[in-house]
Amino acid sequence: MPAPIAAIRSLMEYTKHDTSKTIHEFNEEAVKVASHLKESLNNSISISAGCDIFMRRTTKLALGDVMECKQSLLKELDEFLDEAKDYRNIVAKIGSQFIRDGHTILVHSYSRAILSLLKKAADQNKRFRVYVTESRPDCSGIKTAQELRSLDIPTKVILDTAVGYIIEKVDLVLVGAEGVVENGGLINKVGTYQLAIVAKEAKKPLYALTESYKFVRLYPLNQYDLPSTNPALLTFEDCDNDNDDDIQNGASEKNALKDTSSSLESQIQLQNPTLDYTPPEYITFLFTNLGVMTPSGVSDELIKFYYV
Amino acid sequence: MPNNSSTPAADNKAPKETLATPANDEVKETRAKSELTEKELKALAKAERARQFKEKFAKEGGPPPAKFQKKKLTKQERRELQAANEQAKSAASNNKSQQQDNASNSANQQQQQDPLPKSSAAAAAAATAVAGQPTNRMPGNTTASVSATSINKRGPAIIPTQPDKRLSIFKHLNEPRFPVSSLFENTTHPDGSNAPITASTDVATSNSNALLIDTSGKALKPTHPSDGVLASAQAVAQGLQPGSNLLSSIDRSMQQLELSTSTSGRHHHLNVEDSQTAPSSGASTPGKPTTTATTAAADPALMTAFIDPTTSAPNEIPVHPSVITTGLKIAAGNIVSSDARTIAMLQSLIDAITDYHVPPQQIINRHLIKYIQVQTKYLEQQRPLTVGMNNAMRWLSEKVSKIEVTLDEKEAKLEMVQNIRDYIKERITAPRDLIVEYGLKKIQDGDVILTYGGSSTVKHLLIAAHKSKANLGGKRVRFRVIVVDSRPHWEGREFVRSLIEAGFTKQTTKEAGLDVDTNDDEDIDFVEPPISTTFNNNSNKSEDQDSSSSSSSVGSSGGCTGITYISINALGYVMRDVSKVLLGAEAFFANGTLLGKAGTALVALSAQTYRVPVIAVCPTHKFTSTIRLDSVVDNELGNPDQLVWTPGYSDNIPSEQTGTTRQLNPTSSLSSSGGIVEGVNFEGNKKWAYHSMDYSPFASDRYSSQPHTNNSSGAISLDNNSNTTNENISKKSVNSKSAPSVSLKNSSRNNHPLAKWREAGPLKLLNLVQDLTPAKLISVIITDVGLIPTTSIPVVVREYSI
Repeated sequence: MPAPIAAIRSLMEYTKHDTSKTIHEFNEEAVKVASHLKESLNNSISISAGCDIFMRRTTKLALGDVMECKQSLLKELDEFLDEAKDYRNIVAKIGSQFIRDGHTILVHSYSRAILSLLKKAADQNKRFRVYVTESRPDCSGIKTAQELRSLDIPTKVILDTAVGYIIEKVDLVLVGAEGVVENGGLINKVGTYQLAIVAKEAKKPLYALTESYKFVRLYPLNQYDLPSTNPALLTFEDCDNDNDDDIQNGASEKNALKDTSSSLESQIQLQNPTLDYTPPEYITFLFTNLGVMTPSGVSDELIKFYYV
Repeated sequence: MPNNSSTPAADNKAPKETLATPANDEVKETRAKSELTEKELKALAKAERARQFKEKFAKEGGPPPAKFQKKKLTKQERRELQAANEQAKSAASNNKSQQQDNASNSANQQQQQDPLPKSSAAAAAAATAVAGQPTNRMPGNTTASVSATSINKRGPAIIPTQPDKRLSIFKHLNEPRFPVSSLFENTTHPDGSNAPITASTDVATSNSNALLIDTSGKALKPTHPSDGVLASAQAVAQGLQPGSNLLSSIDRSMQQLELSTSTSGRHHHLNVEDSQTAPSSGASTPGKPTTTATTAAADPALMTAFIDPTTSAPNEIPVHPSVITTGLKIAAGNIVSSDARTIAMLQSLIDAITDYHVPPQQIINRHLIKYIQVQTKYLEQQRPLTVGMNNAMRWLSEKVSKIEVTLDEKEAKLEMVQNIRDYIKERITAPRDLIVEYGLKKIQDGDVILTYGGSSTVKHLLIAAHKSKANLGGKRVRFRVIVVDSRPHWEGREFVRSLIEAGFTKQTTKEAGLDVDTNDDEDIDFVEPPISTTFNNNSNKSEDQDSSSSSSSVGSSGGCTGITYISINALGYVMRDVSKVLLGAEAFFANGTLLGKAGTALVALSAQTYRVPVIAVCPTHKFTSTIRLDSVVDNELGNPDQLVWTPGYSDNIPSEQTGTTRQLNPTSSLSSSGGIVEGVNFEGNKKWAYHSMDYSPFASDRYSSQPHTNNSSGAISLDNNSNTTNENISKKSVNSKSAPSVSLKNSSRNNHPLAKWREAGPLKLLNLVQDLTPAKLISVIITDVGLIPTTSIPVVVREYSI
């Protein structure tokens, strides 16, 4: 379940158990719950996108009987969630048009939207090859490679540092998104930005796949402008967490890293951001359930959704 | 300016000038005799002038000045005619184009008028007003002849300008003619209809009247809206002392008059406007010189001049005194920022509406619109309206047109006043607070923020950021401010001053030359600014340190840790250290283009080069659905003399001397920031700068109250610094204070290489006030609806129907 949807669901659950007597009180409580939800997670960005949608709906509530309002809110959100289930398919459908027979595609990290898009394209009997970046530190690219292999799509995993080497062979680059910010920039797994820079320099199109519930009301100006209330977002996350069971290929590598990191960590300060911000000028198009849009279209949609 | 523009009209001048005085007298008489309405009086005056104009022209001999000029004219006539013909040809070739030059236009006019000037009284009067301005100053025969010659002498120097090749905007440079004539129609306000003003009824006469006072050399000091006019009037009086070199002194004093009025006003029309409204009000209270526009407009005469529209002629809608006050303040540069101008305009309109009465047989929503249009037109003459003002006016006229007819007058007025108050609150002041709120999130620990010009919104934001404790869990964010300033208005000085007055000094009064970086701790790791090693001494932290220490080794505890003031020339030097650029905006166009003070585009471009994010702050009431593609098609023109000699000029000399040594010395430059304000033009030569400001038309109102000077706080003084480099600097600055102050007396604008640029042949000066910054250079706009990219302006405009 995508994080924004999960956030909405949990807020809906809260709404069911809420005992507020007035709408105003409910609104205030909901704000508190939402902020608590955001703070409790390392990666607050996609959560906050979901919270924003929820809050937007609650503030729109007409004044009246609390129970009725809550019921209508829940109903509304249920409908929204039903609709949202289909978003990823819509994105895949829209995006698969951009993949042609014989293409070579570079994919970063793990994204369910990308996987469904590639599956869609494969179902359309398009033949293409995929390069997947390993995407350290959690090596989520390997997970992507495994899933692609199960779909019989020829896939190769490359080092994150090999992007520049491979870019010449690539026809297009696909990335997912944790969140899409107001200017159309992306917040995504670390490495996206440098991939985007390389792609732009090589004049390869970079498409970002996102559902519209990932649009988040943030406007970062640089990498350090992401919400830093939660310092864990950009602080070092140990490489040697071994909770990721489904990575077999990377395991040995991880062990090696474990050794080095444990020995190094005492001597060298490491910095390990998990996310980075890709400015809108590096993004060719965004494939969303609202259609294919340029980065500036995101802002227009957000303005329409939130302000009016 | 007159001495340029009036050249083609030179042959008309002397006769007109001599007739101006008798006309004036006669008008006065008629007024005393019969109680005519304002309009009739005006018409009478015009007719009278036209008649005399005709007569004088018909006469061969005429008074001595005319004779004198005839002689001169024989020589010059051919040249002038030739020039006029050429211009006429070129005008014909450019035919219909808007860029038809005014000079040629007027030349044609004169040719037509020469045989029979009955064409139109208004045109003649306008010509009188223009031509009269220089010449009317000398009502005596001899002086008049001198002025005629001086103009003739100046004439040929101007003629070489190629009118057909000039851009439309260039005509403004030399041609106050159109504005003057338009003003002529609208300047009836000071004397109203039956106001007890002894002076005069319209432009030309009031003008001559004022100059009578000047030239008579009496100690009459007329009241002026800006003391620049006062100073120049005195200069005129001095310049006409018997035995002095009349020609040059008149020349100089005239230029001074232009300069002072126009520097105060920035715009050409208002120069004339200033000098006209000023003397007329001055003549009514010839006692003591008052300094500001406020007093001039609060003058009882002016107040009485505002006559209830119900009693005056139905078609004459007077300009409300409060609007006049605002207009003059805007013209004099007392109200500069676009937000402040919009608010001032709306507030004066509140006054105007409060005093408004619907004339009999008029419908309020029809007539009130006309009434408001008159007020707006007056303001527009003072200085072109900003986009924000235009938006407000459009909103207001829509509101007015929707007034329900069933409402009685009082209710309708109350409703309108309330509407305007709401507008100010909802669209201007509240958005500013919102912008500050949003903007605070964008100012992070360790930021080095560069700003240009004197945007009030940016100022509020920086002050809020300085005081805010919200970020960093109660710790204040530390940031530095670099204020970039430029000629000719040096708005950044005022900006810096208001920052210091807002308490930016308090954190760093005990600063010193600390050369070791003391903030190596973890929390700035990921926001580590590139500058932290360079500007180390400014970024100490922890508030307790500050409170405990009186020693010289402690910097600030948070908030703004230092202000650097630089001229725009040094932009490239500081830009690599900057982490964010904050820009104010006068307007945003639908294509995302920013309209800002000239130089903004340069700053944004430089920021783009160094990949520094550019943040523009602009409330949505300054958005417009129109677009502009370049800054030449439509721009505000400043006075070209500001480029040549301004109060700011003289303080350039010493700052170059000391400034270069300081700035280029790597040890003593930015890294050894002595005070909170370090910089080239401001600090070391502060005293000098302010001293030289005494020449400014703004002297008493803008710079007279000197902020913290040398001894009061270490903030902008170098004297408190302890380390050696700063001692050197202060020595240097002391030297520079004494040395140039001697030369100050001599270094008037006559010593300036471009002082006589009008006589230097084809040289033209272009002083553009605004420029456009392309949308691509701006990373984000902070508005009251949130942070939006420039591409979203059309959406905002559409969704909010701005």
